[in-house]
Amino acid sequence: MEELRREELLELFKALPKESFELLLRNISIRERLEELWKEHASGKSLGYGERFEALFEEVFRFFFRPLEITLRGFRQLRLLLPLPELLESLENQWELIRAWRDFIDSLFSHFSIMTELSLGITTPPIVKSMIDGFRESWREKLERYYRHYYLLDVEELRVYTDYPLILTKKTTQYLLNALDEWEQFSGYYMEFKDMIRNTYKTAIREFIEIANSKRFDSFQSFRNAFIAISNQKFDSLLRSKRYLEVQGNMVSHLMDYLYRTRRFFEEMFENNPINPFATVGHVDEAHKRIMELRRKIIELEKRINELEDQKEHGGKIKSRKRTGGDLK
Amino acid sequence: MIDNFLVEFKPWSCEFDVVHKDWLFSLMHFKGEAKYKIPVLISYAYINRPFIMDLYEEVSVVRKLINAGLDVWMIDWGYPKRSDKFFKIKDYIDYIDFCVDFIRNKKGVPYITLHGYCLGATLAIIYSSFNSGKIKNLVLQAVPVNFHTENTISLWAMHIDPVKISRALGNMSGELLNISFLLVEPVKLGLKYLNVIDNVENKKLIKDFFYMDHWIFDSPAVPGYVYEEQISKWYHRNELIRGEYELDGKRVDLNNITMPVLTIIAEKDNLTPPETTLPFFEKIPSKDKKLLVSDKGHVGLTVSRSSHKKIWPQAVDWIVKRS
Repeated sequence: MEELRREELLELFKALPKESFELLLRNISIRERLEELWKEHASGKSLGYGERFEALFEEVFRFFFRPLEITLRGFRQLRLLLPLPELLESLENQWELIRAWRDFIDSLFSHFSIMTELSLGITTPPIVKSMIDGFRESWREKLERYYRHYYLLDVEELRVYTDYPLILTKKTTQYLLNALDEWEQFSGYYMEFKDMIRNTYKTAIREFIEIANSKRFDSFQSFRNAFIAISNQKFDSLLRSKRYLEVQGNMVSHLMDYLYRTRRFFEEMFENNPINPFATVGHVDEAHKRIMELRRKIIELEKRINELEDQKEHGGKIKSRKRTGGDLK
Repeated sequence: MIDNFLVEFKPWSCEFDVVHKDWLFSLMHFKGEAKYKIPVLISYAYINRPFIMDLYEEVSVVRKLINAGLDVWMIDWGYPKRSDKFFKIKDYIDYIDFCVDFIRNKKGVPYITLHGYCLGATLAIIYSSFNSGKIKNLVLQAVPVNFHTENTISLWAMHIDPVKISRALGNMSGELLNISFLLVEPVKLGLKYLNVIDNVENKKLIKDFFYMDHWIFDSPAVPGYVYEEQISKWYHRNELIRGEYELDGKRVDLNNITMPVLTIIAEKDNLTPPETTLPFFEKIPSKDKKLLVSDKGHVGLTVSRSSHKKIWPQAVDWIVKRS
């Protein structure tokens, strides 16, 4: 298979569905690896389970594992909200950054003051100049007052972390703790799910290697077909087995609860914050639910009005029905 | 080499007008010269896009129906967003009812042919059981009614909690459904592109393959409430075939399926295998019922060239004779 150029890849990405693009590229890589194994087999060497079969596993199953692993890593979002020592350290570093930013703003303010002073002296009558000077001064005073409070808060800020469990509402804390529990359960079942897939793959490959080493496949096609057929058969048994069904069911269940409770945790935080200007997904969902219920009532009413009109005008014969949404033609 | 993979994708080979739009749903009317009185309304599954029925000219079921002189209409169930989470199965059935009345009025006919595919056919059965007087013929393609089978998808569905999914995600996302469908046969389906790479010079094969891929990965989400109902009432409790499923307090009675019924199944269907349909076919009291069996899979039934040679001429003939 010739090497794919970068521009070609971009064209391909634009032309195909995202999933097709990924699976096609993975299949190109899988084909190359299988061909290498086939060449080794055709030259009379015995095959063994090693890096190349392991790399094949990654190519075949990455597509399935990735969404779950992204969710596993999403846990970092929650971790950032806990008062852990490394986070406090990173906060200290942030203060350094904020101080540097403040110095920059002070310098910028001085720069503009000087520039304004110079330009106003040349272009503006004295009365306007004094108005602008006054405005600028009042801003400076305001900012200075803000900084004085800010430094006081700087110290107080650290207390937030010692009071952390008492700051959030009880419900909020419960959602957070439950989300962490769900994540732990989900990650446990995910590991088992991944192990089951990996072990099944290994069993299939061992069987394939045994067959390949005991007989000669006469073509790459038959070599490849045997690899697929044996793997397929092993996976079919696994994916319908009692334990697999339990593990997959529990994994999905805890994953969904983890997502739901994490979202509820954030929603509770926002909903209990009086300066939060945004409606949460929960609020919007509730609004949509009520709109749907009203819509059903309107449709039902329209239907009954139509029926009554039909009875009156046509003695019950079907007439055109109006409905919310309207005819286009 | 890459050039060969750059297939320009243009679904829908037949022309149509969108004659009604209602939030999420819309009704399409295909252009053509109708020779027969009874119009055909297609209700496709809400978990995929309906253009699979008219993917391209050579394998278009819609074109076959139009060319036979039938007046073809189709419902597009749309792309549900978070705001559509609260749609219920009842809303889908209500829209079928609206479309049926709309067509009856436009064409001045008392009834129509209702043609359902996959879960769209399940909706067609539910609708027909309540409105048998409005349905002249019922055509069911790969329809799941008996959900308790040994099929992998059914087993998985029986082991998940749909309420938790809709609570967390709002809707069941199309991406998640696609990953599940591929995971049913991870090595076989994950490595299906090897055949494409081997046949990179075969333009017809490449076009067929990537047209299918465009359709496969263009998956709408399933509204949260619809998903809850589908999984808990159909998959977990198998209420439809047991005659226990209720819509808005009214029981869906399969004994009301008395109109002529054409059922098309696919032997290699791994999503809705024959055993999801056959108990229904045996159970309904219709005196004029026919079963067509394809040797293809769930989608091959619609888009394979061999199905278009063997199955669809018989299916179209069956409809025409009753139109």
